[in-house]
Amino acid sequence: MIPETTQPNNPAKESSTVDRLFERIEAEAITPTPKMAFVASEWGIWLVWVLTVVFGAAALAISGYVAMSAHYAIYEATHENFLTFMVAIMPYIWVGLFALMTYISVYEIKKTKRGYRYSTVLILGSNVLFTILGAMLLHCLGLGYTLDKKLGEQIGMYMSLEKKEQMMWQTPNQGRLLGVLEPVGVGEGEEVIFNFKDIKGVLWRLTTSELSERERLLLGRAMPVRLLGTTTSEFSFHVCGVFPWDQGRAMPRREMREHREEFDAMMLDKMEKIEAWGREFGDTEAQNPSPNSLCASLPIMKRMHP
Amino acid sequence: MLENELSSKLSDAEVVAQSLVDRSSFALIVRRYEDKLMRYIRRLGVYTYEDRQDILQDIFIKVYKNLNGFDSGLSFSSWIYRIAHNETISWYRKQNVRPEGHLIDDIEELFLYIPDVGKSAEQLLDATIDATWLRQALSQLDAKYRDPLILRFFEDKEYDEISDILKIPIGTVGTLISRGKAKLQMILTQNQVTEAPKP
Repeated sequence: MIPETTQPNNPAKESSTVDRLFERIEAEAITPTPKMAFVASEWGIWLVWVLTVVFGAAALAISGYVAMSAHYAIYEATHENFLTFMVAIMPYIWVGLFALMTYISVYEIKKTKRGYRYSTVLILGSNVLFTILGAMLLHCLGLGYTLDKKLGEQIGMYMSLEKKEQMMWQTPNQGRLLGVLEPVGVGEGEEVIFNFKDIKGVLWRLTTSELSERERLLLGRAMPVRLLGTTTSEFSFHVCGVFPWDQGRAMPRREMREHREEFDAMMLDKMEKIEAWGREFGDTEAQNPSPNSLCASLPIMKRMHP
Repeated sequence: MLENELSSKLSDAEVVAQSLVDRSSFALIVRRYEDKLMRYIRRLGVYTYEDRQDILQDIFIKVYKNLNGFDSGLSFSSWIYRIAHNETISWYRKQNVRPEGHLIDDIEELFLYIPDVGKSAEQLLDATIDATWLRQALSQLDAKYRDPLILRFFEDKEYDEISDILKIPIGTVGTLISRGKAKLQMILTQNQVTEAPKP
């Protein structure tokens, strides 16, 4: 049996408990904590909750901006497959911050006077809903893009979507170039040659014989564009595709699909031309394509049409 | 005398409000809850009377300090039981021991659940054995199941009160009680099969 000490046979038990209690209250000068302290504590919890929702919404707005504005249309241009593209583009820091803020906000609600009455799933669901609504509002106000861009400018280590895309596209050795057409161009022979200034300030001579009319027009607008192609010699770039830089704008899915389909059709057309050329002059020469069909040998062709 | 009668008619919330103005009114709270809380603390496994007295005093001090924090949307009883529960758990932590509730240590309470108590010495022995088994089983039960069971079946608290005392959702209270009963039943069955308790 468990030993138990029982209550002593003391008829004055009640009064002694009260007396001892009041003696201690007197001796330690204990007083009730002011109501204001409890009110402030409750308000403090709610304030932290509001902040977590606001930060969570900002994190989600930036994540949403990155997810919607990444250049999915021709992900094969920069990555082996869609998965590796997503891994590279994913805004980990913001997704992590959103998860952390959601966790803290649930914890804060649980700490409020009545918070324990609600299940974690209900609190989590309502918090996520609030955060999504906040994120949608911020996104509509364009804050997702602004925050991402400003942070990228202010903090060197912070990789904004713009910086990520710049890193992916300013790689001439891998057939990608980012920049703007210089206003003065010189024509030579059949081809129109332009001076193109990349984001590092390097001037490139472009050959555009394989571009469509639409692409030439896009290039000629003197707006920042991303070029897909191959280097032919030092500071010479053979252009196979022109895409708008389009930072800060979420490209609608339909537009993205059309963009991709147009590029794909153009690439297929080039492939067919080189195959026809190969049939005419023999396989050996087909493996060593003519300068007019450089685009068909780009790695992106193998990725899009394995 | 008249004053005592008037005081006894006041609700707990009214006594709380009065205690904030006149400290001596707090004695009424102490008298109303002293015995109930002493029993509750014992059911949570504090066997020594002196320890129970110490914990009880800490509970009332905490209640007094936090009078302004009492949420009138809750029942005062739930609030003071919550403080009692938390203080007892804190006491266990300070002692660095695990709570071992033995809610039916007082055998007479168990007899309330057994019909025709005291008819024969044989029945009394059976009841003692049952109490011992139950005590053993409860000491093996996880605190998260044991606490709601104690509050429901031995403190006669409703689900919403248990929710307020233990600060868990009402749905969870139901789940814990239901699972707790099933686990208790399982432990009792296993214990009966493997060993006969020593009365």
